[in-house]
Amino acid sequence: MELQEIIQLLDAEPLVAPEPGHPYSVHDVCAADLLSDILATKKRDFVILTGLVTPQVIRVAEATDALGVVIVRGKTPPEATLEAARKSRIPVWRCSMQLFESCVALAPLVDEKRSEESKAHS
Amino acid sequence: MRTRIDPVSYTPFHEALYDLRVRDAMSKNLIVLGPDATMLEAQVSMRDHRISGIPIVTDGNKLAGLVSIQDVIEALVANDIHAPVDKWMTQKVCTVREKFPLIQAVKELQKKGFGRLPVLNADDVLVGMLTNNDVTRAVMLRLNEEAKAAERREADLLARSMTATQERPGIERIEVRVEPMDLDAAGTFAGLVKKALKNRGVPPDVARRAAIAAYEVEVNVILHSMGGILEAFLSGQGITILSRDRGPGIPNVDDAMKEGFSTANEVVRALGFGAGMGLPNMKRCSDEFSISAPASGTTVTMKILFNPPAPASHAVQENT
Repeated sequence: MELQEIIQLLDAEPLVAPEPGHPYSVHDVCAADLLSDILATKKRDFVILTGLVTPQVIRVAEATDALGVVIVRGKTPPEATLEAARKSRIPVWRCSMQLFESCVALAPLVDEKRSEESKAHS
Repeated sequence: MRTRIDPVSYTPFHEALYDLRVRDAMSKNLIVLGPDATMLEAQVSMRDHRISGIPIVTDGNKLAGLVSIQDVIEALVANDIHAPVDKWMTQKVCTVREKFPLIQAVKELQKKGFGRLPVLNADDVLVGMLTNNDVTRAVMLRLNEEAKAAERREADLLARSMTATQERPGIERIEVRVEPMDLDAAGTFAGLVKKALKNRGVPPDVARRAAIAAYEVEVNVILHSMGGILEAFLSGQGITILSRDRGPGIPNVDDAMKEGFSTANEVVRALGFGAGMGLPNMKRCSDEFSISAPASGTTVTMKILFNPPAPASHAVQENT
């Protein structure tokens, strides 16, 4: 799936837009309100969905090679978070959905991606 | 007779007294008079040089006697201030040898209540004078020298240990000092680690594991310790992350290693931390992991190899 598809399904607005050449192919989504959960995931090429807005979200995204951060519940992150994102070249979006609703919205897309993969492996 | 010194009160001051010789402390700037000088000259000389006693010497600087303020007073009372000094001087003078340990001279000064002692060499020639002030100054100088030498030794040791880690060929070192609860700085160390690994072109999954381990330990030190030092050593084979904090340690490391165990408070949890996954995740990300957590401070060492022998062993859990 593509980054742009996810953003459209969530009706998210960009707060820090991806730079030209930013990877657009997304493999998975990691939804969590605990940074520890994101740090413990083994997912690759994933996008973070979270209600957390501190600069630490960006640090964690950077450490885990996340492709971007979508902030849910319509929260506005502090400037320090956006500054960290720009510095680390981690794109950030904001959507008004709750975390659970955002997962529901993305589920068909993720399902489709997974079934494609399982077909490819069988 | 030996003076007994209570071992409890035996201080570096005493050590210096035993170690120093009289010649190390005495003043060599001698103010002397010949035996034919008058008591008035002796009094003027003592006043001008602000000294309380003046040695009287014959040819070859041999000590003939000593004129003290007391002697001058006695001459004045007798209305004999113009008499030669050898009439009023003290002839049986208590002296000390230049090679004697300083402690012996100190005992002599104390025992007899003298303000000064003439110092003689092996040929009985007057070579100096020793006062209580000279003793104090010499001991203080010695203690000061010793303190400086100790500082230099410590600095040398530190420099050598730093060199051992900093300048080992082929080893790149990263160091970040962490202050308690300074969450704004969290991620600085992990960011530097990741950047260094990226520059070296190590496999992305290895860089990711190292960055996660570095971040977890960094946040732990910030949230749970009184501050500490984080270091990373990069070689051709891998990266070693070393975290040393200033305490208070971990009461039960086995509990802390269990997933979900956390001592974090509500404030920490509200920030998205404190899920009790830190230590287990560090261990999962590392090829080698060790922790010791006495009250004096926790030390965590993690090694991540660039070409791990069994990559499957690092399987991290699927939890989202």
